[in-house]
Amino acid sequence: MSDGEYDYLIKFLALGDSGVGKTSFLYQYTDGKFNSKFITTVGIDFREKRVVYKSTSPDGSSARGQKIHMQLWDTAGQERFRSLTTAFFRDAMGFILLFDLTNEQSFLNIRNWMSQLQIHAYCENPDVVLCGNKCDLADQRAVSEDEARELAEKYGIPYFETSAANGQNVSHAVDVLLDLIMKRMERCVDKSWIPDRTVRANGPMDPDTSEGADRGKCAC
Amino acid sequence: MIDLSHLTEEEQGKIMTVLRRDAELKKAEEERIRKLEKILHSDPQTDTNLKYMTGEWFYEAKSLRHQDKIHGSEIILASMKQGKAVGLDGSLRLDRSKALSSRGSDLVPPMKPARCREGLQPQEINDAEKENRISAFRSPRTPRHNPFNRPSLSIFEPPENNHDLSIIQDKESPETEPICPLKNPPAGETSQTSGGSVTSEGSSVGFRPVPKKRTFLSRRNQTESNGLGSDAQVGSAGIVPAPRSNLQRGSSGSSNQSCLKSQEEVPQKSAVTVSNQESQSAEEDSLQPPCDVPQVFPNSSMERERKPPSITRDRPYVRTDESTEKLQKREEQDDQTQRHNAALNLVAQNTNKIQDKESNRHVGTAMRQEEPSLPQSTVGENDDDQNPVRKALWRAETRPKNLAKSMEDITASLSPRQERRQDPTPDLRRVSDASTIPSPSSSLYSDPDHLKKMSKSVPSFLQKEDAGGDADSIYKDSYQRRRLTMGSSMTNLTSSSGLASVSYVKSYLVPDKANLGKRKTSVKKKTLNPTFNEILRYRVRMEYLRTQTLILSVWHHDTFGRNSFLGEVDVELSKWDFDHTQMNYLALKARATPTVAPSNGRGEMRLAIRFLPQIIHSEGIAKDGPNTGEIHIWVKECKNLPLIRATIDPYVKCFVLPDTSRKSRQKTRVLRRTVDPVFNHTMVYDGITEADLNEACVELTVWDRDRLASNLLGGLRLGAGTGRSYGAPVDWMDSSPYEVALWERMMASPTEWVEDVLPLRMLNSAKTAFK
Repeated sequence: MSDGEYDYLIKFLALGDSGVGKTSFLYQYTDGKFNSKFITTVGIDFREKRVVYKSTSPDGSSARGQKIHMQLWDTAGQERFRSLTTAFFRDAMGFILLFDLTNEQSFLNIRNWMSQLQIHAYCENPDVVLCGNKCDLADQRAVSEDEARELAEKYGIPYFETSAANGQNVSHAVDVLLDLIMKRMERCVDKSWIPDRTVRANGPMDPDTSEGADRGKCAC
Repeated sequence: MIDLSHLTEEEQGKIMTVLRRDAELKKAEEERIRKLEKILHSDPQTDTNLKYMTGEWFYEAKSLRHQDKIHGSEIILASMKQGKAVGLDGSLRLDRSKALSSRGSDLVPPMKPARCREGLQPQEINDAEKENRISAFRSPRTPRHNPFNRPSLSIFEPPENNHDLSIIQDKESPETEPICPLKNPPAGETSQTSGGSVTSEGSSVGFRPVPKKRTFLSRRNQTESNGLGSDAQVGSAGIVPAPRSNLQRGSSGSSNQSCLKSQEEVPQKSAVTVSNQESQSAEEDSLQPPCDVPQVFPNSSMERERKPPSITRDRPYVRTDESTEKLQKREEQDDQTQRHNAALNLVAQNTNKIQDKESNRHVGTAMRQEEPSLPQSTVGENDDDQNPVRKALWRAETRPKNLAKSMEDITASLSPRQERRQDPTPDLRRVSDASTIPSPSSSLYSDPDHLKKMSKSVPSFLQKEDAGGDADSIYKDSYQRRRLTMGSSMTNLTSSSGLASVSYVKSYLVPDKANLGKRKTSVKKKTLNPTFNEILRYRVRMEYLRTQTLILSVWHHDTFGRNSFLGEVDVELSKWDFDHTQMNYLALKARATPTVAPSNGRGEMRLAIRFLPQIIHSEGIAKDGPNTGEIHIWVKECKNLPLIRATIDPYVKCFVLPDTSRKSRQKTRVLRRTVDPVFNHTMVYDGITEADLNEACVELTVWDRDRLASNLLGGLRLGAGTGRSYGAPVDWMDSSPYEVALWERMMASPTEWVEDVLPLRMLNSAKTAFK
C-alpha cells in the first residue's frame, strides 16, 4: 500500500471514549465493513487508505485529483493507555473526535478530549471534526442533535451524526476533515507567495509578519 | 519518556508491531520525498508544491510548539526500551536514558532543518528491540557477578554460554561477545564438571544422551545465610539476579538483612504474596508495619507497574518480567486468593515473630496462624452449639480487627513448613536406606520447648480422639471458632522399614481450597505401635468441613529425611459423625498412586527425575570435587498447554533455584505449533549434595516463544516445598503436594528414575520470567 505512489501523506487520528466506535468508524471508512464484536484496541493502531482528493477551489495546482495516502491512527479510549495515545496526538494533522450518541458520558467527555487536543496536538487549534456515532441506534439515543451541534459550534468544528454500522456520514466526515487539512495546507503554503511578504527565495520567512487572520490557525 | 510499565508484555508487543508498521510507512514516505526532491529540486516554483507534498508545512507548524521533532511513535518506542532497561539494573538507567535521548536528538537531524526526519526506520526498531534483548542479557551479567563473589561459594562461569549466544546471534549483535569474558569470576573455580555449556538443544535432541550439566551453586558453606536469604527473597520478588548487586552495596541491603535476622521465620510467601496482591493493597498496608523492608520492597516492585518510577527503591526491578507476572497473575485469581490467605496468615506470623524469639517450631497442633486466612475462607464449625456462635463468627470474620487480634495472639508454635496444598498425598513406595542428609525436621522434634508446646494441648484430650467438637477453653473464648482436632494413637504399623519404625502422622484436607495445610504429629521412635496422643487442629467452619476429605497418612521418618509412606486413611468428612467424640480406630490402607492432580487448565508435564548422590568420603562430608551429586531431569512431554495465541511454540526452561544465574538455566528446543510438545530432553545439574535437596528447587517453566518475547504458559517447582531455603524464607519453595511427592520419591530412591505427570501451574516468582 505504501508504495510511494501518492502525492500527499495525510495523518489523521481518531479519539474519544472507550467504546464509542473509533475502530469501527475507521474500519468502515477503509474497508466498508462493520464488525459488531467489541475488541478493545490495545494502545494504538492505524489503518491506511488511498483516496483521490479534488480541491473545490479553482487553483492551478490542485485542479487534478490529488492522490492522498491517509494514515488513520486509531487510539485506545481506555484510561490505562492514555499516556501512550496522547503521545501520538502530535503526529496527526487532523482529528476525528467521536462520541457515542447512546452514551451521554462520552459526550460530556468531549470537552476533555478537546482540551487534551489543544495541549498535545501540533498546534493550538488543529482541524477536528466531531462525530456523534451510533446514530443507527435511534431508540437508545441519549444525546440530542441540538446539544451536540451547539457544542461543535462552540469549538468551531463541523459536526456529523455518523454510524459505523451502516456507514452513514462516515466517508463524509472524513472527507470534510481532509478538505479542511488540504485547505489549511494550501493556506500555509500559499502565504509565502503573497507579494508583501518576504519572498521565499530570499531566505526563511519571517514569522512575525504572518497575516493576522491566519495567525492563530497556521504557524507557517 | 513515558512510563509504560503498566502495560503487559503482550500489549507492548502489539504496540511494537503497530510502531513497526508505522516505521515502514515512514520509510516509504521518506523514499518518496527523496525522489520528489530530486525531481523538483532546483525549481523555485515548485518549492511550494514540495512543501505541500512532503508534509513540511505540518512539521514547520509542529516545530513551533513541540521543540523536538520526535514523532509520538518514537517516544513510545523509547519509553518501552527504557522501561526494559531500567528494570534490569538501576545502574544502567542513566546510561540508557542518555543513550536514548542522544538517540532522540539524532533523529532531529543535523539534516536540513526544514525537513523533519521521518522517525525511526524499521531497522532502528529492530535495533531497539535488539537493544532490549541485549540489555536483558547484558545487565544481569555484570551485577550478577557480585553475590556469588564469595570465596566460600563455588562459582562457576562458563567461558561461553551457548544459550545466550544463540539467542543473541539471532539479533546479530556483536556486543555480547566482549561481555562474556567479563563474567569470569574471581573465585575462578571449578569449571569442573560442567563441561562447558553444550547447547542442550543440540545435544539432546530426541533421546536423552549427553545432557548438559549445570553446576548447582552450593550455598551451604556461605556464611551469610541471611544475606543470601534476602537475596533469595529479593530474587523471589521477581528479579533477574541483577539487583543482588544492589544488595551488596546498598544500605537497604543491610537493613534488609537485619530485618530478616530479626525474624528468621519470615515465611516464604509473605514477601511475594504481599506483593502479589495489588488489589489487596489496603490490607497489605495494614500488615506491613511489622517489618517494612522485606515486605515493602517486593510490594513496591509490583506497585511500580502501576505507579510512575517515582518510587525510590534501591532495587529497580524487571518491569517486563513483572508485567508478565501480572498477566499471569490475572489469569489465576483463585491462586491469588489462596496466596492472600497465606499472606495474611503469614504476615501475621511475621509480626509475631518479632516478639517471639523462638525459631523452627514445628506445628503439630496449634492453629492460630490459620485465623487470618479464615476470613477469606469458608470456616466451618464442628461443634454442637453452632448457631449462636456462628453469628458471632460471621461478625468476627468480617472484622478487620481479627487480623490484629490474631497477630497478637499467635503463639510461637508456627510451622515454618506451612504450605498451601491442594492434595497432599505423596507417594513413597519404598523406604530408602541410602546415605545421609540430616533432616531439617529432625531438629524440630527434638526441641524440648517445641515438644512441650505440643504436649500442652494434649492433657485435656487424653484418651479422647475426635474429629469433632472440643471444649478447649484456651481457644474458645478468644476466637469463638471451632476446630477440627484429632489426637491419635496407632497400632501395628507394618514394619516395612525392616527396623523398628520411626513414624509420624500427617494430615491433609482435600480438596483444600482454603489452604488450611497439612499437619504433622511428632515422631515416635522405634515402635510399631506408636501412641501419639496429639491434636492436629484445623480451624474450619462446619459446612466447609463437610466438603472436605481428611487424609491421614502415616510415614516412616528416616533420620536422613527420606520419609517413606506407611499407610493412610481417608476420612470423608461429609459422612463423618461429628457428634461422635469417642476414639475411633481407622484401618490404614496402602495407597498405590496419588490421585490425579487437580488441573489448573494449564496443561501438564510428564517428566522423570533422579538424583545421583555423591560418594561420601570417610570423613563424612563430601567435598565439592568431581564427585558431587547430580540431579537429572528428563522432560518428556507436555500436554494440553494453554493456547494463549492462535498457535504456540513451546519450550521448557529449567533452573535449579536458588541459582538463577544464566549458567544454571537450561532449555529445551522450541517446538513449533503444538500444545502437546514432546521434548524428550534431559538436563543434568551437578554440584548437588543431599543437603541441597532440601534447600533447592528445580523450577521448570513452559514458555511460548513469540517472535517478540516469550510468554509464560505455566510451570512447576520440584522441591521439598518447605518455604525456606538455606535458612531463609523464599517464595519459590512452594511446591505443590504432587511436586513434593515426586521430589520425595526421588530422594527416597537415589539413582533411580521416578516419573510423574504433573499439572502445570502459574508460578508467581518472576525468576521464571527471566528470559
